[in-house]
Amino acid sequence: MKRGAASLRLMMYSSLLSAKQPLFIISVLVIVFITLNNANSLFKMPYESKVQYEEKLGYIKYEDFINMTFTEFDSLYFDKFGEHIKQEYSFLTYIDKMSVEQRTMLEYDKVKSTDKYDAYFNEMINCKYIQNVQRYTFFELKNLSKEQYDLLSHSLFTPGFSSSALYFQNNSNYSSIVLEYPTYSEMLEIIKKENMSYHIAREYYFRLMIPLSLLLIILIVDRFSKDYKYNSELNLYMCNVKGSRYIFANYFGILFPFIIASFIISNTWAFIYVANVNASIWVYSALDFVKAFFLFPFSSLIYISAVALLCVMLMKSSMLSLAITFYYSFIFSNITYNPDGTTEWQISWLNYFPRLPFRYGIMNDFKAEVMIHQLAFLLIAVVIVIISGRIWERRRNHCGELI
Amino acid sequence: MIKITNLQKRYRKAKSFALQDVNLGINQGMYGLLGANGAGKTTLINILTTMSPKTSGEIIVNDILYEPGNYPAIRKSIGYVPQEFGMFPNMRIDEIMDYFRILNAVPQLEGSERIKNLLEYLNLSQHADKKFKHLSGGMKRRLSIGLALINDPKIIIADEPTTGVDPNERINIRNLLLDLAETKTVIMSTHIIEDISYTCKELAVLSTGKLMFSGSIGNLLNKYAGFAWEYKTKDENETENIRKQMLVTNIMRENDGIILRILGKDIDIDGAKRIPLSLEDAFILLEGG
Repeated sequence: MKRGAASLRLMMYSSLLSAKQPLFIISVLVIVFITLNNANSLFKMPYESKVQYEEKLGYIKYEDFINMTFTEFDSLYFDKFGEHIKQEYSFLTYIDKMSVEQRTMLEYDKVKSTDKYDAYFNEMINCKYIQNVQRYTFFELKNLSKEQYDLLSHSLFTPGFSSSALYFQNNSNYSSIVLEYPTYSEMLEIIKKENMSYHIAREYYFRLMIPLSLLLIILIVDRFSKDYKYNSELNLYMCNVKGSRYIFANYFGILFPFIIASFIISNTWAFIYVANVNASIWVYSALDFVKAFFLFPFSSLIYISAVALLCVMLMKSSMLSLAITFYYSFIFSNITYNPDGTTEWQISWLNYFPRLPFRYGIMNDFKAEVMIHQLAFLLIAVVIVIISGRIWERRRNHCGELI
Repeated sequence: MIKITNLQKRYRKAKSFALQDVNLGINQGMYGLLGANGAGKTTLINILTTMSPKTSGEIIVNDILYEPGNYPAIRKSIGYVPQEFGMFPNMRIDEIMDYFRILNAVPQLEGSERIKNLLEYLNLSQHADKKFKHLSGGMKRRLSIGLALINDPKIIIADEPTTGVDPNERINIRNLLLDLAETKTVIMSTHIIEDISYTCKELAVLSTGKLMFSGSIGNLLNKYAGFAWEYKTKDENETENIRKQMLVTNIMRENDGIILRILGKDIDIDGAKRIPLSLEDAFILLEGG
């Protein structure tokens, strides 16, 4: 009891000290910037009313477009651009021929008029996957886009895609679009289980994960390498404090203020967004952002900071510890790509945060696995911190050997 | 307070012993640990402060047997003033003291009072809100003494506490340690003989890991009583010859001649007269001169 109180006092003191450090204050400012930057895409989402969206949902129906023959499309193209398309031409030929204004016009009309296919088509127009598709003809590309719907998943944050999604949701006669996509009724079932805001919150925190991790790694490495950098370790070693208590208190002394700051700042924007969103269309709840925070960044941040702590305990050198932990956090936080360019969404035991697809059909698929994954990483983090305490204690008892 | 019996220390992969058969008894008061660089002073301090395990021998610190299980208790009874002292540059003196109070689990009420008294005692009260990066070398050294005292230990070990500070600060630090020695055991390790001669009654002299002497300064001086000589000459050639044949510790050139300070039991120079032996002379003789 007495020891616990002493540890708590030490942790509180370390927290206060950390919070006063210039590096921490800079980190908080960076968190404000990155959360605002990421929330920006959320703010852009259904801010407008349902009527406004419906007005924007153009005149070419998706069903019409998807079943359009070459001649019909050619006619549409001719109306827009005053010339005919040739079937043997590659997609790029048309793209190259168009002026910026023409491309924008085509893009604009499509986004406002059709569904997911168009958003993917716009991706093509934006040349994101142009290297892979430039050999295809227009119609081959059209088929390809239907098969590779995955690539669209991240587009939900774009105004165009969100408007399409709204259109999709609000027109139940579109349930027969393509078999591999969830039908409207299926999607309603999914949304009944989880609010839309939960999935948006999840994506929001995925985007914040890497910058938050990097900031926390810098703070942890800076704090613990300071003991060696400023020759204060000899005084510290002689203190009447156990290695595990010293490490726990100082580690959590940085971690807690950082997590509290991240939680408050990131959720502030989210709450503002939820308060202003058009709730009549999607179900939004501020609590979903809180839930998503504790499910995703919370344990992942604890884990990656524990890895940084272990590195600095083993190596003392701040630069080397930073390099190794940065490398780890980058390599095991990215989405893996298949050879054909599609993304592979899966939970890996090496990935310190489970980055899940933002796709209607599999929104709930991994929930149990995510919970287990995050709990396991939390436990691993605790073990790493205990090991770090032992390393510190061992160094204390043998530091004279190195002098 | 500290009893060391047959202490040996051999570092891993080292062929020779860093400390060999060291036997010491250190009681309350100021105790000097003298030796050239590499003599084994720091090794001995590292062992006493539990920062390096002993190879063999027995140590009893404040009635506590020196063994890994007792390290926390030993640390509690020792305050350590390291040679190199650093702290986070943006922390203020009062924050540092408070941080170490918490690290040492000293209750707030008792600790705050102690910090206040220590700051006054160390003449740092008026600088309590100064950041560490703005402190002078002497102030840092005094702060380091303060941190060693925060736990109110019975033993203070200071590793070269006066190195790298100005003469006034050196005197301050020496006086601080002397004050502490009124009630505590203070071990001062140094290679500055002047510091030992001004502050310690007892000392131990180490050389290449071996204990050359332990006891009072008086005993050491008595051991080599009559070994110091002074000889005055005007002849440069003679001076050069004496230098080659004998242990000359000082040559002072004055207007009326050259004054040589020579160490030796019996020297065969007409006109050489015995002078009082200094601690430095005794140290040189002990070292093998």
